[in-house]
Amino acid sequence: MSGKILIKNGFVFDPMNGVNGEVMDIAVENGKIVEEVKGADVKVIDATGMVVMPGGVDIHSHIAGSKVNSGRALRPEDHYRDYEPRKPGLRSGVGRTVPSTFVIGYRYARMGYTTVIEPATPMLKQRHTIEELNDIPIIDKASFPLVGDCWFVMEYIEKNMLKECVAYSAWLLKALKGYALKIVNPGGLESWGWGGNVRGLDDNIPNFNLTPREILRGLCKVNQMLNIPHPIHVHANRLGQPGNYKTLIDTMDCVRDLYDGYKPIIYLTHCQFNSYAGESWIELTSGAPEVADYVNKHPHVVIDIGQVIFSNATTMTADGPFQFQLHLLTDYKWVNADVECETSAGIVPFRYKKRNYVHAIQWITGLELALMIKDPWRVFLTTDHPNAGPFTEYPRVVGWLISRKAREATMKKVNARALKRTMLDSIDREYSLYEIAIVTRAGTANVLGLKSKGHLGVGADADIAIYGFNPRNIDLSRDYKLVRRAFRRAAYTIKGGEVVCVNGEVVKSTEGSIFWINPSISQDLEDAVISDIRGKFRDYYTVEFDSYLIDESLLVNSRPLQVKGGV
Amino acid sequence: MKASSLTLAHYRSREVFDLKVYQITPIYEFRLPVVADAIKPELFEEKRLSEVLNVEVYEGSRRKRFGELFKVKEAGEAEETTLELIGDFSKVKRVGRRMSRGVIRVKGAAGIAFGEAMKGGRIVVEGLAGPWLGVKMKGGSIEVYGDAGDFLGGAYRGEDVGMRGGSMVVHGRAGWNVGYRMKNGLIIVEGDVGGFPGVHMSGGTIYVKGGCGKGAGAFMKNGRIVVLGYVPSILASFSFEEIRPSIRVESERLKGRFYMFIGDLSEKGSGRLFINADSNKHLSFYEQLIEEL
Amino acid sequence: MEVIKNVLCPFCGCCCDDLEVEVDSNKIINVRNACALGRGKFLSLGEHRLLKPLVRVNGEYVETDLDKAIEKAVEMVKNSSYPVFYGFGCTSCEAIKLCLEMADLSGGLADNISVVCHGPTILGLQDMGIPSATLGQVRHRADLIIYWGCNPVEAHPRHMLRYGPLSNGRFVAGRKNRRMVVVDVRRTPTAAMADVFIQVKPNSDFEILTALRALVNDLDLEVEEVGGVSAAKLEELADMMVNAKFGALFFGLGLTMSYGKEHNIESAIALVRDLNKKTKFIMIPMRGHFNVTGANEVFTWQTGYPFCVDFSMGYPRYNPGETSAIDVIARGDCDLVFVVGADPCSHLPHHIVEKLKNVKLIVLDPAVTPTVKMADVAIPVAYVGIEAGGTAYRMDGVPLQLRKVVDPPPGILSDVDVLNQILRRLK
Repeated sequence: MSGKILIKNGFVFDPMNGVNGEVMDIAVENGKIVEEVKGADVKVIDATGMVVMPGGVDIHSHIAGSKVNSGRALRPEDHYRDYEPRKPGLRSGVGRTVPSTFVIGYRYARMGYTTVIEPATPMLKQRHTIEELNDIPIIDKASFPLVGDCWFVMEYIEKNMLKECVAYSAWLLKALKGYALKIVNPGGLESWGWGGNVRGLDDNIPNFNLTPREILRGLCKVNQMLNIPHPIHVHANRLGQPGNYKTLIDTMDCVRDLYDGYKPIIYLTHCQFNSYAGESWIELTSGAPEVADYVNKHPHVVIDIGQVIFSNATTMTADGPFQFQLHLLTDYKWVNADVECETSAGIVPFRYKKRNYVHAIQWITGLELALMIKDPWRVFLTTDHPNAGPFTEYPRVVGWLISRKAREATMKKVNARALKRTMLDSIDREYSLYEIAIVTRAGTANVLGLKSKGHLGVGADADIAIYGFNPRNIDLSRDYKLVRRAFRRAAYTIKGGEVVCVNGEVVKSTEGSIFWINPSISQDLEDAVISDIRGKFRDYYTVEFDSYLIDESLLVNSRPLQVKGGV
Repeated sequence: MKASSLTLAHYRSREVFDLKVYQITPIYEFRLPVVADAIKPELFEEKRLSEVLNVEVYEGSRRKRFGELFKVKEAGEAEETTLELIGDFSKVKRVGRRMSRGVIRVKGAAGIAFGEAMKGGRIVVEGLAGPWLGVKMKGGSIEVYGDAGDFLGGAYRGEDVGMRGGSMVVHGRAGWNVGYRMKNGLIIVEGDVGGFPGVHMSGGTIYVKGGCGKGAGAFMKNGRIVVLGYVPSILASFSFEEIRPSIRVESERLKGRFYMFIGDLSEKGSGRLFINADSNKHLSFYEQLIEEL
Repeated sequence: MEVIKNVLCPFCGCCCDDLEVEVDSNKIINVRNACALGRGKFLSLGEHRLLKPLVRVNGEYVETDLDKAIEKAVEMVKNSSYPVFYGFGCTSCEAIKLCLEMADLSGGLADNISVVCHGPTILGLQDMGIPSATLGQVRHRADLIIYWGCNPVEAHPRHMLRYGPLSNGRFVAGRKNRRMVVVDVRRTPTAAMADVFIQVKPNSDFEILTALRALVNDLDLEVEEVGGVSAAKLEELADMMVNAKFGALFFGLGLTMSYGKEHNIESAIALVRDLNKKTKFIMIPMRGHFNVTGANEVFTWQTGYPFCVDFSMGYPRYNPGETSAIDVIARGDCDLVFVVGADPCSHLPHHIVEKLKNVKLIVLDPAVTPTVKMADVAIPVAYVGIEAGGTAYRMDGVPLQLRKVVDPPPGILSDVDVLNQILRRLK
């Protein structure tokens, strides 16, 4: 739309351009941020006394695809009491921890979020992920294909055929419209094909001459050789097990020598679930201080926290063996969904309770990570939705980060023994709004390499959130409830230059775009590898090679990023 | 009753007889389903009658006012607010939802999910009751003179727990899945019930005076099921424990030999199944297991 | 003459995508790689074709033009106070989305054919979850394959070859490296191919699955026989299951539609779940139609529920038995039934089909089916997967692309086009 908007007088927080609460005007035209707008047809939004930020960029949230949908089907009880009635121009739907597609778009927009990444999509079922992403209104999206335990990848790495692996990765991103390379419990998923798992980076993967360490290093190199903007996105081995912080640090460390000094080369996701110390559940405690110390000293690593919310959740990951263990621990219903030649998935409903010692440790661990890691450009706010909590609770996490008082209010109700055994209670640090803007939008967009997102400079996509509180008149720490409320219901959300939300109500439903990476590499190499894959395809998969490909026309709005690979 | 003296006794007696009986009748024959889940006795205490008639109901997909579909007549006084449903209510759903006091008396047939999640008060159905009667009941009592449908005192799909308290008596028969996911409370059915009574039960008591279909107590974790009539078979995941000469159900002592089974062992359950031996001679082979011990 | 490859077969839930269709001058000459069922569909396109829109006027069928038929359908939906949108086994996801939008807009009920097929499977997994996988896992790894209450030789002819005991996998190749077990009430052609055939008494699957589960959990049976199967035989089967390296259970209507219904499935799920404590075991339902799985997927992501979705109160509500199309029709609760991609008058129980006489009926179908013969408005549409493309989902949830290999007869649109026109006018 050619709509012209002028957002006047707001307190602008735009960390990528170094703007820290200055009063500025932001001008929008034709869906982009421009230097200025003139004319009688300019819509003026008076943002006096309000906070203006780039629209939120959520780097890790399970919103679309086969396992998300299985989670929805599994849990009708999740939806009975949380629903959205249809309104003119808006479809009806349901929540709560696994909302239906229309509701996902509306609820993100209400919080001022405008871009969300689906971080784990099984390649064989990518068409399903794209179909659901298409049906999520308003927000822009991308998806990360699961490649760590893919047979082609493992075979190339096994034989040290890295160039071929690069070509294969280039092909799959292009063919499946993916955005980055996702690795989950490397080696563990192929082991789960036989009901097993791996316990560490140097375990042997059955029937493959390969270890998890080799998968990680191989794909890290592949990622660098292909110049993919986002580093390998990794869910580490031994998730959810006491004492696993050591494995997490080992995982971060296993690619340290590959660092080029330029930008992070490994992304570790929902680290809270991988940062436990102690040898058993009874002795469980937070390993966050050790992990934070490592991250502080090593710029090649970037993480997100996966913060626990004390509410209902639905655990769903590609970590099949972990999900089965969780079922055995809790006896809750369990879905398993292996995908041939590639990956697995598991779903188990869950509920985090304040008085429960283990859940309290989990809650503490996430916050310790966020508060002890000094560089906000390398630690991001997520709840690994819906694993640690629903995305609608992000404002609550913001509250805990900006205000020690907010943390105290919760700490009062949390298992006291867990508090005694950890450091959270002694931490005074409080995030500034500038830092919040980094960990929820600027930093995430930056590490994703989405140059048109996460900032308000000229040329950026006009994705803007205006929150109705005045940072000069309030004390963030004391008035955290006010801030939290403001983040729950954005005063305005603008997406692609259109006002989609006013005072926390969706006023317009639009269609978002799907971002993907379109890498170009040497044609000969690409042809050779595609020929190799095509020749093996029928032996590996139960579908034809051509059935695997996703045509660009399937995407409602396609936004490819051209990338020049280094091979 | 005239309001005169201010003594406590008078005040109390004024209150008791100030509660009314309301007769509710459909104005026309319903063809489409009607959802009237706001209709419960306390609604009539909390709102004036004119406001009650404005309460929202659904007829198919059309939103309507209660007064467009039902006629309400005040018909005397009673100790508790009483709603008498006169006419065919078989297409009406969820009357008495979450009620906490008062009486609903259905003179004919009741529709789907009457008394859903009720906390107190009484529902009496003189005719047939539809499925999900008393679903997720928390307290109060339900009585049915006719037959009840499936999922009596049950739960909705996917929920952990159904009935948590209260009691119900069905003088006729009941359908399948009686007490599905029951956690506490008492269900008595005087006639036969269908398959799988007490399926997924974790507590409470189900007492069937007639016979039942297959699958009694399947997936049971705890609770008691008593069946006086014919039971086709017992699941292999139930273990025969002993013969009891009598058992107590609520305040009734039932005489007669009862086979007691414990299960569902595949769920590590410790629920108890009491089957009347005299009605189930085909199960007498279990007695040999005692001799073998 | 052209050979079109990578054609997805639009018949059963196997969704074989390796069909090759020879087309000459818009006629299908030959189909390679298909089984008799699929081949039959491709080669009999012209039979019983509905060629013109029909409208019932005073009890008589009158041919009309598409615009008038669409207008009449729109008017009927607008005047309805509780429309039911039903079907969706034999059409694309794109068409299903449009019908869901119509149901949402008009406050109606949307349901699909799972309700008479694997509905109990859905109910079962909502209580218990389900340990499953894509079909390739079975082909590559399974050394034990059980077909319970289903007969793939006749209903899913290429299943055993592509995914089952006759397939060649990376780790397990060919028939002789696998054991095949069939459990059924009668000796089917599939049973004839099994290593072990267990004949069960009808309506006793729940007890048998319960007994098997007890044995797998190391409990002793206190009886000599369950459901016509001896305890010894059950112990043998339990041992086979526990000792398998990778077991797969395929199940069909023998379990979903016999005594116990969803409880049968719960019992099977609980059994397979418990087996995972000792070995690796998965289960996959044998879905009948080529896109009933897609109907479940689209329903779930757009409304939160896989079937039986009621929009009458303004948002999706779910309670199978209350909001299921067959129960709503049986109780006479609806005033309009809009059918796409199914033939309910052939498949629903007779006493329910009788009730359809009292409602208005709109049908979109390529052929003159019994449903078309009862309809008030019947609009001809293209055969999805042959004359129109779209997306479909295989029985294991793998999404695939339906192809258009020939044009439909002149004047006939795809159901997506017709539904778009109806929806536009409804808005």
